[in-house]
Amino acid sequence: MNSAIIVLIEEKQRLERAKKLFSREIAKLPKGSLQLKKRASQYFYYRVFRDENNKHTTVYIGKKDSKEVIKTQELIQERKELEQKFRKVKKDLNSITRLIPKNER
Amino acid sequence: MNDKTEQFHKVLQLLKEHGLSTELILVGGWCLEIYKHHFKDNGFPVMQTQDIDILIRNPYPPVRANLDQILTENGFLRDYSPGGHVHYLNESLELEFITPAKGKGTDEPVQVKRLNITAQALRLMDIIQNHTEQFSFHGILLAAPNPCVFALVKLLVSNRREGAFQKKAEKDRETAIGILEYLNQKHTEKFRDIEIIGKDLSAKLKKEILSILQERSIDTCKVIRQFF
Repeated sequence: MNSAIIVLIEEKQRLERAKKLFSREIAKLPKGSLQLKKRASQYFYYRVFRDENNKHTTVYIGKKDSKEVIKTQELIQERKELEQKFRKVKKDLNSITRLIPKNER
Repeated sequence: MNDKTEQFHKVLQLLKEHGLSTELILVGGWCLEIYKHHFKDNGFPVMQTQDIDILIRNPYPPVRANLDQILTENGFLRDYSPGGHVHYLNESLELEFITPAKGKGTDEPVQVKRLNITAQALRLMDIIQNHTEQFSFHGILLAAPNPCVFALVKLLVSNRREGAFQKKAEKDRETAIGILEYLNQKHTEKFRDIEIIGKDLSAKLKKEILSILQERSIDTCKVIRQFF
């Protein structure tokens, strides 16, 4: 087999591992985004997301500036960054797969 | 620098910040980029790779650092192979640590507590750690194998690849022979380092190297035979 194809196959394997890993790490982090709502002259944060049945769900997180809100914001930000990297991995994986002859994939 | 080289440079920068870039040894495919930069020659044969393999000398370097934390805090995700070896992946690169196998060797991951990392013990790495040089890569001083030893060990590794890794053996040979032919033609002084390296190799290993070269690059084989 041509060495250039071996390099491509190795890269494809690495990207497949990375895809699995990113997907696993993303699943550990909270889905959705935070929404600020005013209730009786006070502000509260809620996490809004779609659950596994695709049902629109709202979960109370805490008062504005509370530790829970800050922590959740950080985790959601982390998830967004991972999702961005995950999209790059998927894009690279598609591109590299197309470069490998079908009988070698 | 392209995206991957930039990411690679960031890893070197992290190692440098913790006093490790010259204590640990860069091995594997990225060495070719280092050599290409060192010889300032785009004609240097480079086979692109994404894996960064880092050799931890044995005896271990005196520096203490939490490499696991450094990498995971800088965007790398920890992954375990079925054999329990740890790899660090981000969207562009994969990083793994190796160390010379001692005695009978082991398939078990080796814990390097002072660096808080696990490494894979591999044979032939002692030859590399005995013939390491310092190179400068875009402002970072790092340790990497002498290019001659890199090529010779690649040839030996290619002979030891089994099962699913046999396909890589051809790539290893092509890379190694490419480097040896390049050095023989363009940097004969450097190529002569093989004479010194040869003194560290057993008669069996020398015979093995010559036997591979005999089949693939007779001219290089003839010159190296003189050095051995």
